[in-house]
Amino acid sequence: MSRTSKSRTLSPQELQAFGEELDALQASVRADLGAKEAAYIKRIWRLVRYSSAAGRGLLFLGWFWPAWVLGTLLLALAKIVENMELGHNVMHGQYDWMNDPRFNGQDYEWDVVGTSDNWRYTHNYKHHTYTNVKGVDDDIGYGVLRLFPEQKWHPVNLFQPFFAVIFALLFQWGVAIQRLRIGRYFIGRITGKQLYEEFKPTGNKIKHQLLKDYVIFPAIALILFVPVMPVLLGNLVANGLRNLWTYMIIFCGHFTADVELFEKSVLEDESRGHWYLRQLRGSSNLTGGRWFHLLSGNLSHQIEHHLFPDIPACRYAEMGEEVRAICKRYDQHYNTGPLWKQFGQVIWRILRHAFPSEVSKTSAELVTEK
Amino acid sequence: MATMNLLNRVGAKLATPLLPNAYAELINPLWGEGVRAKVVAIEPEGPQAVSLTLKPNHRWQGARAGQHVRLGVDIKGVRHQRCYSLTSADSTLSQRITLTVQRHPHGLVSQYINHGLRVGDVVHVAPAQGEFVLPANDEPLLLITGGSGITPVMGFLRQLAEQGWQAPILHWHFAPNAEVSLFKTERQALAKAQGWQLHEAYPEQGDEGFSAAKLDELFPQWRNAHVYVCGPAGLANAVVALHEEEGRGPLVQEFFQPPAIAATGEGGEVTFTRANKTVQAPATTNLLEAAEAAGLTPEHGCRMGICYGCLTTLESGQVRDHAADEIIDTEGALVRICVCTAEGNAALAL
Repeated sequence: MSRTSKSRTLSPQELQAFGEELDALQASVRADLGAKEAAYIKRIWRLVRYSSAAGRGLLFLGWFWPAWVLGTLLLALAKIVENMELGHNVMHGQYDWMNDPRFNGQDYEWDVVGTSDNWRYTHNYKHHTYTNVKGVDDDIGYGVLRLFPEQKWHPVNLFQPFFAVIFALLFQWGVAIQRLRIGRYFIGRITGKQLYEEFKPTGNKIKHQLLKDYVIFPAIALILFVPVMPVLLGNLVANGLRNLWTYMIIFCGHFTADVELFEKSVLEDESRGHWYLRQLRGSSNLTGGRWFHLLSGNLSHQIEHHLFPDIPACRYAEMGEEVRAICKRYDQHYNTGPLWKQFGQVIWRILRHAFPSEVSKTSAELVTEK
Repeated sequence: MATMNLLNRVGAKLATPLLPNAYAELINPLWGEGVRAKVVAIEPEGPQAVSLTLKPNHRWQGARAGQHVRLGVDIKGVRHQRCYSLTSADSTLSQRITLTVQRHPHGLVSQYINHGLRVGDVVHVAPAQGEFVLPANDEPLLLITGGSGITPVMGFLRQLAEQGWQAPILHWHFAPNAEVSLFKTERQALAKAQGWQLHEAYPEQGDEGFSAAKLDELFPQWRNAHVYVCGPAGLANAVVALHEEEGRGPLVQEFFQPPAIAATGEGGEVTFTRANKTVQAPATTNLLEAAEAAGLTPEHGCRMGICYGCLTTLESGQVRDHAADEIIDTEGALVRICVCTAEGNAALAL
């Protein structure tokens, strides 16, 4: 890691006890799931449906600028909540216990250009299992950015502050093609035909998403004899706002100053306690009010989400209190702060590691802890 | 019809990646996904049961008397599904259906339907299924029922009355006592009006049980009759055994209890491939329970092999199906995990 860890090294016995405390917390919340969480996610579902219907309706009156602004914001709200509090969390299987097909994690299809199937692989499996393990977790810079000194520097990284902005604006597209690992084609590992075959489901999803936002809804405006441009522009801006927001929240989850990166070797016979420890040290939280947490899909409780990915996110705030107390008992740093501060640290990483940087200390420490 | 199709197609483009019904259900819950029905009446049926009258939505395909549906209700945020026989006569698309639910002391769903469900609530209904249906031609019928096993036969009786069945019928019904005998008054009235034979037996009150001699006395032509039986295992087994020896007509049986899982199988190691989990499943634990014990939440319905709501792909290995009493080892076969146990190692797409 690039700096001395703020957390104390735990003995194997301590690691085990640490893991058991978190297991117990998880079990107690899981046993308590029921009517409250079900009612909550159904409210979120309705919030998404109503705000998108209202937003799209208002955009037909978009020639009147206040209607355009409100319509665009409502549509952006719908897309943000659908992506994060609804889609992301449902796809983690957080609400599978409801036995309601609308909230089934394996079947849910979200409102972005990327397919849910690819996401379940790159995010649920790769990222959540191998969080912050170099060379395995593709989310570390998404193959575009150098955010840690452990990543190899290349002169092209000098331009990464510029890439980072483009990537933020087009975030959903980056996520959509993440699984394809297009680099394999350029180094000749797969043929163009194979790449195309793998791309097909995503291509189909992209087609439907683009048709909806940029053809069908504008066409309805035409039929209604109302200006088309506000509809097109509103959809574009709403998608863009969603991209920027999700990018910001997600980057704050793993790329703040104190998060730690791990070598592949930690995965060998990794204990449950160490897995928890890696999730904790690799994640960072955001502080804020109720609406802020809702809009971030409760990923503002990134630490709790990584410890308990399939517990309904609406319980994270309350679990956080307990997690914090456990961390304190084991002298583990609980990485949290307001958005401006955490995102400031992310921006600093993007700028700093555009230039050559070196690891000041090896992460061997964690390896020996197991 | 063409306009409806066009609307649906445009609607699908607008609502992608969802379907338009995700929005329609906000206006009316009956317009949501799947077959749903509104509860239009709840009436007590004797001291231990209630009868529901349901008005299904436009996706309902109708049902034949004697078939069953899988009813889904949300209890404390969780959708529970159970199979219930319809007690209504043949019904077409727009007709109401009825079913009767007897309370079980520890039955979560039956208790909820009896005490928690309200008129106006919307419930989920899977399409009607089942081969427990009346023959095409009027022929002598022997109907033997016990306890709540009366329900599908109640559908028969209503259908037979509507049709005006032109052949002799004996309905022999067993209930613990006269007070809990479901639909007693209606059945007596129907039998009287239609000229059917109805024989009620209340073992608690000292009436004699099922026997070949009594059957010969009540309905001498039974050997040529079409036999239907639905009731507790003891009664059903006695009827089936007698019919195997002497009956010449067909016999149709409806089950309403899970098959007993005898520890005849081997058990084994079961891998849930999607969850990437492997567990030891003993011969007495069905695969649904094994999956649930491993923290999975597979889709399921009746938990007794009737509704096929838990069909899961067998990716490799073999399982024992206790309802069909067979071993399944075909790769890619769909198995009812609620009545299957591991037979050696098996991998399931869960």
